Amino acid sequence: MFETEPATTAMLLTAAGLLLVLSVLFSRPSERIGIPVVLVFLLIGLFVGSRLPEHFVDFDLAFRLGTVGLVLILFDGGLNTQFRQVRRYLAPASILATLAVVGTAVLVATAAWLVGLGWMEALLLGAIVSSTDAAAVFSSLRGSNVQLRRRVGATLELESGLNDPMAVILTLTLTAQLMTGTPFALGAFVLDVALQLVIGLVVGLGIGWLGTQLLRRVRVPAAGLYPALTLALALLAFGVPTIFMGSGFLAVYVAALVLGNQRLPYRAGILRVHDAMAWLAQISMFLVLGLLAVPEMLMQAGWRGLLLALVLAFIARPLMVLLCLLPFGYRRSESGFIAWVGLRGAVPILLATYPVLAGVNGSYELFHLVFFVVVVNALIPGATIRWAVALFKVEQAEQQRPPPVLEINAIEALPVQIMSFRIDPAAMVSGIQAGSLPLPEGADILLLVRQKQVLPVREDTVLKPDDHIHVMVRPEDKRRIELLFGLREED
Amino acid sequence: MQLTDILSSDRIAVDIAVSSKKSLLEKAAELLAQSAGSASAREIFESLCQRERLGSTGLGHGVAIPHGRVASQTEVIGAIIRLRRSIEFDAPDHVAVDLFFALAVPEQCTDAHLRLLADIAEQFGDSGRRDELRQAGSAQEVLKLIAEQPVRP
Repeated sequence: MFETEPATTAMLLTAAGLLLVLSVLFSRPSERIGIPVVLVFLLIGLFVGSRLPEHFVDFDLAFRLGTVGLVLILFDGGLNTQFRQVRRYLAPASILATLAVVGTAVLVATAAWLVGLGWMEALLLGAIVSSTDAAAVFSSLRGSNVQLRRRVGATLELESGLNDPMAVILTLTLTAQLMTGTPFALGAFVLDVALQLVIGLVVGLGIGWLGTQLLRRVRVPAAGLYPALTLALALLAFGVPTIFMGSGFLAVYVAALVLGNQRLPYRAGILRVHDAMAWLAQISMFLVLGLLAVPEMLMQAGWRGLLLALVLAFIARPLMVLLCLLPFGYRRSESGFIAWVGLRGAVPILLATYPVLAGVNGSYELFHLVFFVVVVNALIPGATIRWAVALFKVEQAEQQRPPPVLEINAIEALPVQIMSFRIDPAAMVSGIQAGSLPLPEGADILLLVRQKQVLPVREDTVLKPDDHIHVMVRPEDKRRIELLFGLREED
Repeated sequence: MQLTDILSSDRIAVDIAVSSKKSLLEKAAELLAQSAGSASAREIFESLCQRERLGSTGLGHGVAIPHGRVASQTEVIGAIIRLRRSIEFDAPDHVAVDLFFALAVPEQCTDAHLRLLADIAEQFGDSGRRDELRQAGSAQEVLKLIAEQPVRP
């Protein structure tokens, strides 16, 4: 009906804009009730899709969009992961991301086979739903002022960054097998998987390192060009290894991990842009995936979908996690919690579009089964997560860092660091005059924000509870400053 | 105020065993409560916990300075604990902690108290001093080491 441009594009953009606005507006209520916010996007997509005069079936677009989306999400995840804090958990997370992924896939596949799917289709289904989404975990916890014990949070975070590549490799390989009809050879399969992971890892490290050098050396005329550069690096990190038969998703995560842990110019700005990109990717992915699903077919997936979802949540995931974490000395409550919160996110639904594209028999039904499994496995752990935190006692003793009221960003890497604190009555500096603080050399209070007023700090300024202060400090004196001032704000 | 003014050998526990951060803080509160002018162990324990909630008082290199502002505390009191086996203390460098200097400070704390805290951090920040404290054979020896202030630059 709108055959002339720009009308078609205008319609499209208006629709996309409206959907985005709707999604953003609904994010807060969902946070309050503890439903993962991404599920709301999915439901909006599903609802709007079922109201369209013609059903949306562009799996091509969905796959491409989903791939870009996952690249952006993984890149953002890598940038925000503090490697020093998580490296101790690299071994358990890697085992979870490989062995547990395969084990979960096989267990779910067995259940799927028992309810009547062919072996290959069953394995494909298992592979598709095998990876977790930590962003969903953390977004479910946000707002409740709960912080997970470091070991638990770091393991979940690393696991989910590392297990997507594995699930992708499994799904693509199995789809290729199904299409070419070659018999399944375990040896060749394992070799292939290992090769993809190694190439992904190496290229990821390489791009991360080169990217760091590039960002440090290059002088660009506008600060906004730095995030444009990191975005380009994200695309390269996916594209290059994928061309050479490596795992692009692993490379993206690894490259971002390297970049995120270096001193970068305009770091805060870069992080902010990628955060926004990741959100946009989350919303678009889930909206489009919701649009693709047909409610009637979801009804058909019915009891089988529900059964498989429950097998994943109550048998496959817990069993594999508990087994895989056994050698790492996790407390039973910790591995129990990790086993319980195997939230599924966008990746399985993205992966489910792949067999449809490849033209695998019965893949459309498979897509809806996966849809069902994902929704249930986002809903059950998502809605119970706060309860699970209390039950397994995995809350960290420390308070969550409050957000800062004022951000001071360095455009270039500087030898001093600026830390911000919120003064708490339990901190030693509360009630003390700024002039008599025993600050290390080179450290000073820069300014103070008190009830939305920015004040200069004089010798006789008394620090009061709920003041926000910014302190400049040499990196080696950070610990002492933290000892005196107490509660740090988010970076 | 000197560090030795707030210590006494009966508040220095050498080579004891505790299993967790919580039991360490309980033990510290118990030692601090022994002094005249101190609040109850319960109250001190709670104030120590409150401070830990803001962020670990671990300094890295296996040392920590748990401290708290205690409502019914009339004077500042310190205690030293050295563990036989170090414990997880959420320290910034993720190293388990075995050396603790605990402080109970009056609610109305002054810059003198703050300077004490900074002094302790200074002493504990010195790797030679840490080694000496780890090797000291008894509470008296620890006290002696603290008494001989390190040379200030």
